[in-house]
Amino acid sequence: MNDQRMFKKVMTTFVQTFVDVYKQFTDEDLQPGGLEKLEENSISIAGIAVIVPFTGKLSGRVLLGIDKDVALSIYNSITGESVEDICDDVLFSMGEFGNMVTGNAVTVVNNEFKSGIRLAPPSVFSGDEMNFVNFKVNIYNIVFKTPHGVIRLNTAFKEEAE
Amino acid sequence: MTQHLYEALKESLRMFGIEPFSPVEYQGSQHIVESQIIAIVGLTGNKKGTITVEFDEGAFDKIVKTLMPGMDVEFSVKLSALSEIANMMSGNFLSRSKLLAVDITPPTMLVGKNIKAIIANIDTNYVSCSIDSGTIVIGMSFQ
Repeated sequence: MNDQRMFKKVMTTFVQTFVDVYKQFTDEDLQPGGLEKLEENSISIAGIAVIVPFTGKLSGRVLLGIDKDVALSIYNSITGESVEDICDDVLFSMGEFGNMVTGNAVTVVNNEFKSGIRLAPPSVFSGDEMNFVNFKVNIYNIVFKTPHGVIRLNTAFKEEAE
Repeated sequence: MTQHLYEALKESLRMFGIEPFSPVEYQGSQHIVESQIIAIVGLTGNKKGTITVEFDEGAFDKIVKTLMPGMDVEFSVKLSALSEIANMMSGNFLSRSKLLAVDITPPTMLVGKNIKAIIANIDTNYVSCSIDSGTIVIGMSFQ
Protein backbone atom coordinates (compact mmCIF):
# COMPACT_ATOMS: atom_id res chain seq x y z
CA MET A 1 0.00 0.00 0.00
CA ASN A 2 1.78 3.12 -1.22
CA ASP A 3 -0.15 5.57 0.85
CA GLN A 4 0.84 4.76 4.42
CA ARG A 5 -1.35 7.53 5.75
CA MET A 6 -4.35 5.95 4.10
CA PHE A 7 -3.39 2.50 5.40
CA LYS A 8 -3.12 3.81 8.95
CA LYS A 9 -6.43 5.57 8.59
CA VAL A 10 -8.11 2.43 7.24
CA MET A 11 -6.84 0.28 10.09
CA THR A 12 -7.54 2.78 12.87
CA THR A 13 -10.99 3.43 11.43
CA PHE A 14 -11.80 -0.28 11.25
CA VAL A 15 -10.71 -0.68 14.87
CA GLN A 16 -12.63 2.36 16.08
CA THR A 17 -15.85 1.45 14.27
CA PHE A 18 -15.49 -2.12 15.51
CA VAL A 19 -15.25 -0.89 19.10
CA ASP A 20 -18.13 1.55 18.56
CA VAL A 21 -20.49 -0.97 16.96
CA TYR A 22 -19.68 -3.59 19.59
CA LYS A 23 -20.42 -1.04 22.30
CA GLN A 24 -23.67 -0.14 20.54
CA PHE A 25 -24.73 -3.76 20.37
CA THR A 26 -23.62 -4.93 23.84
CA ASP A 27 -22.92 -1.83 25.96
CA GLU A 28 -19.52 -3.33 26.70
CA ASP A 29 -16.13 -1.66 26.16
CA LEU A 30 -13.49 -3.39 24.08
CA GLN A 31 -9.73 -3.03 24.22
CA PRO A 32 -7.97 -3.90 20.97
CA GLY A 33 -4.72 -5.85 21.03
CA GLY A 34 -1.78 -4.94 18.83
CA LEU A 35 -1.80 -5.02 15.04
CA GLU A 36 0.17 -7.92 13.58
CA LYS A 37 0.99 -8.67 9.97
CA LEU A 38 0.49 -12.37 9.34
CA GLU A 39 3.30 -14.28 7.65
CA GLU A 40 0.88 -16.94 6.44
CA ASN A 41 -1.85 -16.44 3.88
CA SER A 42 -4.45 -18.31 5.91
CA ILE A 43 -6.30 -17.95 9.16
CA SER A 44 -8.12 -20.65 11.08
CA ILE A 45 -11.42 -19.75 12.73
CA ALA A 46 -13.56 -21.76 15.14
CA GLY A 47 -17.00 -20.34 15.80
CA ILE A 48 -18.47 -17.72 13.50
CA ALA A 49 -16.79 -16.02 10.55
CA VAL A 50 -18.16 -13.01 8.70
CA ILE A 51 -16.53 -12.06 5.42
CA VAL A 52 -17.09 -8.68 3.78
CA PRO A 53 -15.15 -8.33 0.51
CA PHE A 54 -14.41 -4.90 -0.97
CA THR A 55 -13.06 -3.23 -4.11
CA GLY A 56 -11.92 0.26 -5.01
CA LYS A 57 -8.61 2.02 -4.47
CA LEU A 58 -8.03 -0.82 -2.06
CA SER A 59 -9.43 -4.28 -2.62
CA GLY A 60 -9.54 -7.29 -0.36
CA ARG A 61 -11.74 -8.51 2.41
CA VAL A 62 -12.52 -8.02 6.06
CA LEU A 63 -12.99 -11.17 8.10
CA LEU A 64 -14.44 -11.14 11.59
CA GLY A 65 -13.67 -14.29 13.54
CA ILE A 66 -16.11 -14.43 16.43
CA ASP A 67 -16.04 -17.01 19.21
CA LYS A 68 -19.36 -18.82 19.58
CA ASP A 69 -20.01 -17.45 23.08
CA VAL A 70 -19.26 -13.91 21.94
CA ALA A 71 -21.71 -14.27 19.06
CA LEU A 72 -24.38 -15.55 21.44
CA SER A 73 -23.65 -12.70 23.86
CA ILE A 74 -24.03 -10.10 21.09
CA TYR A 75 -27.24 -11.71 19.82
CA ASN A 76 -28.76 -12.00 23.31
CA SER A 77 -27.86 -8.37 24.05
CA ILE A 78 -29.63 -7.20 20.91
CA THR A 79 -32.75 -9.32 21.27
CA GLY A 80 -33.05 -9.70 25.04
CA GLU A 81 -33.31 -13.45 24.50
CA SER A 82 -31.28 -16.22 26.10
CA VAL A 83 -30.30 -18.28 23.08
CA GLU A 84 -27.73 -20.94 23.97
CA ASP A 85 -26.76 -22.29 20.56
CA ILE A 86 -25.99 -20.94 17.14
CA CYS A 87 -29.04 -20.68 14.87
CA ASP A 88 -29.81 -18.84 11.64
CA ASP A 89 -30.94 -15.72 13.50
CA VAL A 90 -27.60 -15.52 15.28
CA LEU A 91 -25.79 -15.86 11.97
CA PHE A 92 -27.92 -13.13 10.37
CA SER A 93 -27.17 -10.86 13.33
CA MET A 94 -23.44 -11.44 12.98
CA GLY A 95 -23.74 -10.61 9.29
CA GLU A 96 -25.41 -7.33 10.19
CA PHE A 97 -22.73 -6.70 12.81
CA GLY A 98 -20.02 -7.15 10.17
CA ASN A 99 -21.94 -5.04 7.70
CA MET A 100 -22.20 -2.16 10.17
CA VAL A 101 -18.52 -2.31 11.14
CA THR A 102 -17.26 -2.32 7.57
CA GLY A 103 -19.92 0.04 6.22
CA ASN A 104 -19.27 2.69 8.86
CA ALA A 105 -15.49 2.39 8.47
CA VAL A 106 -15.57 2.59 4.68
CA THR A 107 -17.78 5.67 4.78
CA VAL A 108 -15.18 7.47 6.92
CA VAL A 109 -12.27 6.38 4.70
CA ASN A 110 -14.07 7.25 1.46
CA ASN A 111 -15.03 10.68 2.76
CA GLU A 112 -11.42 11.49 3.64
CA PHE A 113 -9.55 9.88 0.75
CA LYS A 114 -12.13 9.71 -2.06
CA SER A 115 -11.03 6.08 -2.29
CA GLY A 116 -14.19 4.72 -3.85
CA ILE A 117 -14.14 1.60 -1.70
CA ARG A 118 -17.28 -0.44 -2.25
CA LEU A 119 -18.47 -3.38 -0.21
CA ALA A 120 -19.93 -6.69 -1.29
CA PRO A 121 -22.64 -8.23 0.91
CA PRO A 122 -21.43 -10.08 4.01
CA SER A 123 -21.26 -13.88 4.06
CA VAL A 124 -21.55 -15.73 7.35
CA PHE A 125 -20.14 -19.13 8.25
CA SER A 126 -20.10 -21.26 11.37
CA GLY A 127 -17.98 -24.31 12.07
CA ASP A 128 -15.46 -25.86 14.41
CA GLU A 129 -12.56 -25.55 12.01
CA MET A 130 -12.66 -23.18 9.07
CA ASN A 131 -9.53 -22.18 7.20
CA PHE A 132 -9.77 -19.02 5.14
CA VAL A 133 -7.04 -18.59 2.56
CA ASN A 134 -6.25 -15.64 0.32
CA PHE A 135 -3.52 -15.30 -2.28
CA LYS A 136 -1.48 -12.27 -3.35
CA VAL A 137 -2.61 -10.30 -0.32
CA ASN A 138 -1.13 -8.84 2.83
CA ILE A 139 -3.06 -9.86 5.92
CA TYR A 140 -3.32 -7.94 9.17
CA ASN A 141 -4.84 -9.21 12.38
CA ILE A 142 -6.09 -7.58 15.58
CA VAL A 143 -7.49 -9.55 18.50
CA PHE A 144 -10.16 -8.13 20.80
CA LYS A 145 -10.72 -9.83 24.13
CA THR A 146 -14.22 -9.74 25.53
CA PRO A 147 -15.59 -11.23 28.76
CA HIS A 148 -17.11 -13.99 26.62
CA GLY A 149 -14.18 -14.85 24.39
CA VAL A 150 -12.25 -13.44 21.49
CA ILE A 151 -13.06 -11.61 18.27
CA ARG A 152 -10.48 -11.33 15.49
CA LEU A 153 -10.54 -8.45 13.05
CA ASN A 154 -8.61 -9.83 10.10
CA THR A 155 -8.10 -7.66 7.04
CA ALA A 156 -6.55 -8.73 3.73
CA PHE A 157 -5.42 -6.16 1.16
CA LYS A 158 -4.60 -7.14 -2.39
CA GLU A 159 -0.86 -6.76 -2.96
CA GLU A 160 -1.14 -4.74 -6.17
CA ALA A 161 -2.79 -1.96 -4.21
CA GLU A 162 0.09 -1.68 -1.76
CA MET B 1 -27.27 -15.02 -16.12
CA THR B 2 -26.71 -18.62 -15.06
CA GLN B 3 -25.84 -19.58 -18.60
CA HIS B 4 -23.17 -16.87 -18.60
CA LEU B 5 -21.77 -18.33 -15.39
CA TYR B 6 -21.47 -21.80 -16.89
CA GLU B 7 -19.96 -20.50 -20.11
CA ALA B 8 -17.46 -18.48 -18.07
CA LEU B 9 -16.49 -21.56 -16.06
CA LYS B 10 -16.24 -23.65 -19.21
CA GLU B 11 -13.92 -21.15 -20.88
CA SER B 12 -11.75 -20.85 -17.78
CA LEU B 13 -11.38 -24.62 -17.39
CA ARG B 14 -10.78 -25.17 -21.10
CA MET B 15 -7.66 -23.03 -20.83
CA PHE B 16 -6.25 -25.87 -18.73
CA GLY B 17 -7.59 -28.64 -20.92
CA ILE B 18 -10.54 -29.49 -18.70
CA GLU B 19 -13.97 -29.91 -20.27
CA PRO B 20 -16.96 -29.61 -17.94
CA PHE B 21 -20.19 -31.35 -18.91
CA SER B 22 -23.79 -32.01 -17.89
CA PRO B 23 -24.67 -28.55 -16.57
CA VAL B 24 -27.81 -28.34 -14.45
CA GLU B 25 -29.36 -24.98 -13.63
CA TYR B 26 -31.63 -24.50 -10.63
CA GLN B 27 -32.79 -21.89 -8.17
CA GLY B 28 -32.97 -21.74 -4.39
CA SER B 29 -34.51 -19.36 -1.90
CA GLN B 30 -31.21 -19.04 -0.01
CA HIS B 31 -27.61 -18.78 -1.09
CA ILE B 32 -25.96 -21.62 0.78
CA VAL B 33 -22.85 -23.75 0.34
CA GLU B 34 -22.29 -27.34 1.39
CA SER B 35 -18.86 -28.39 0.17
CA GLN B 36 -15.52 -28.59 1.92
CA ILE B 37 -13.69 -26.33 -0.53
CA ILE B 38 -15.34 -23.08 -1.51
CA ALA B 39 -14.28 -19.94 -3.34
CA ILE B 40 -16.12 -16.76 -2.40
CA VAL B 41 -16.08 -13.77 -4.75
CA GLY B 42 -17.91 -10.54 -3.97
CA LEU B 43 -19.62 -8.32 -6.54
CA THR B 44 -19.58 -4.59 -5.84
CA GLY B 45 -20.87 -1.50 -7.57
CA ASN B 46 -24.18 -1.00 -9.32
CA LYS B 47 -25.18 -4.54 -8.37
CA LYS B 48 -23.96 -6.04 -5.11
CA GLY B 49 -23.81 -9.74 -4.75
CA THR B 50 -21.80 -12.89 -4.20
CA ILE B 51 -20.53 -15.71 -6.38
CA THR B 52 -19.53 -18.98 -4.73
CA VAL B 53 -17.74 -21.84 -6.43
CA GLU B 54 -17.82 -25.19 -4.65
CA PHE B 55 -15.42 -27.99 -5.50
CA ASP B 56 -15.97 -31.52 -4.28
CA GLU B 57 -13.07 -33.91 -3.77
CA GLY B 58 -13.31 -35.31 -7.30
CA ALA B 59 -13.26 -31.85 -8.89
CA PHE B 60 -10.36 -30.79 -6.68
CA ASP B 61 -8.35 -33.87 -7.66
CA LYS B 62 -9.11 -33.50 -11.36
CA ILE B 63 -8.02 -29.84 -11.45
CA VAL B 64 -4.87 -30.42 -9.40
CA LYS B 65 -3.83 -33.49 -11.41
CA THR B 66 -4.41 -31.66 -14.67
CA LEU B 67 -2.61 -28.46 -13.73
CA MET B 68 0.19 -30.05 -11.72
CA PRO B 69 0.63 -33.56 -13.11
CA GLY B 70 2.88 -35.74 -10.97
CA MET B 71 3.96 -32.80 -8.82
CA ASP B 72 4.23 -33.07 -5.08
CA VAL B 73 3.08 -29.62 -4.02
CA GLU B 74 1.70 -28.18 -0.81
CA PHE B 75 -2.03 -27.99 -0.30
CA SER B 76 -1.83 -24.21 -0.39
CA VAL B 77 -0.43 -24.30 -3.92
CA LYS B 78 -3.23 -26.59 -5.03
CA LEU B 79 -5.73 -24.24 -3.47
CA SER B 80 -4.23 -21.28 -5.30
CA ALA B 81 -5.05 -22.98 -8.60
CA LEU B 82 -8.71 -23.20 -7.62
CA SER B 83 -8.66 -19.60 -6.44
CA GLU B 84 -7.31 -18.51 -9.81
CA ILE B 85 -9.99 -20.47 -11.66
CA ALA B 86 -12.67 -18.78 -9.55
CA ASN B 87 -11.09 -15.40 -10.27
CA MET B 88 -10.89 -16.03 -14.02
CA MET B 89 -14.43 -17.36 -14.15
CA SER B 90 -15.84 -14.36 -12.27
CA GLY B 91 -14.03 -11.90 -14.51
CA ASN B 92 -15.16 -13.77 -17.61
CA PHE B 93 -18.72 -13.76 -16.27
CA LEU B 94 -18.68 -9.98 -15.85
CA SER B 95 -17.58 -9.55 -19.46
CA ARG B 96 -20.23 -11.89 -20.77
CA SER B 97 -23.10 -10.55 -18.71
CA LYS B 98 -22.30 -6.93 -19.60
CA LEU B 99 -23.01 -5.77 -16.07
CA LEU B 100 -22.04 -2.11 -16.02
CA ALA B 101 -19.96 -0.61 -13.21
CA VAL B 102 -19.68 -3.89 -11.35
CA ASP B 103 -16.36 -5.14 -9.97
CA ILE B 104 -15.26 -8.47 -8.56
CA THR B 105 -13.35 -8.80 -5.31
CA PRO B 106 -10.32 -11.05 -4.88
CA PRO B 107 -11.45 -14.62 -4.10
CA THR B 108 -11.37 -15.93 -0.56
CA MET B 109 -10.96 -19.69 -0.27
CA LEU B 110 -12.63 -21.55 2.56
CA VAL B 111 -11.65 -25.07 3.55
CA GLY B 112 -13.37 -26.94 6.34
CA LYS B 113 -15.79 -29.66 7.37
CA ASN B 114 -19.33 -29.45 8.65
CA ILE B 115 -19.58 -25.77 7.83
CA LYS B 116 -22.92 -24.03 8.01
CA ALA B 117 -23.06 -21.01 5.77
CA ILE B 118 -25.49 -18.27 5.00
CA ILE B 119 -24.27 -16.28 2.06
CA ALA B 120 -27.61 -14.55 1.51
CA ASN B 121 -31.22 -15.10 2.40
CA ILE B 122 -32.44 -14.28 -1.09
CA ASP B 123 -33.25 -16.06 -4.34
CA THR B 124 -30.11 -17.59 -5.76
CA ASN B 125 -29.21 -19.04 -9.13
CA TYR B 126 -27.11 -22.18 -9.18
CA VAL B 127 -25.46 -24.23 -11.86
CA SER B 128 -23.74 -27.52 -11.19
CA CYS B 129 -21.63 -29.43 -13.65
CA SER B 130 -19.32 -32.41 -13.79
CA ILE B 131 -15.64 -32.74 -14.50
CA ASP B 132 -14.62 -36.39 -14.61
CA SER B 133 -16.06 -37.90 -11.42
CA GLY B 134 -16.16 -34.57 -9.64
CA THR B 135 -18.75 -31.82 -9.34
CA ILE B 136 -18.50 -28.06 -9.34
CA VAL B 137 -21.42 -25.97 -8.06
CA ILE B 138 -21.61 -22.24 -8.76
CA GLY B 139 -24.04 -20.06 -6.82
CA MET B 140 -24.82 -16.43 -7.52
CA SER B 141 -27.05 -14.00 -5.65
CA PHE B 142 -27.66 -10.27 -6.01
CA GLN B 143 -28.97 -7.99 -3.29
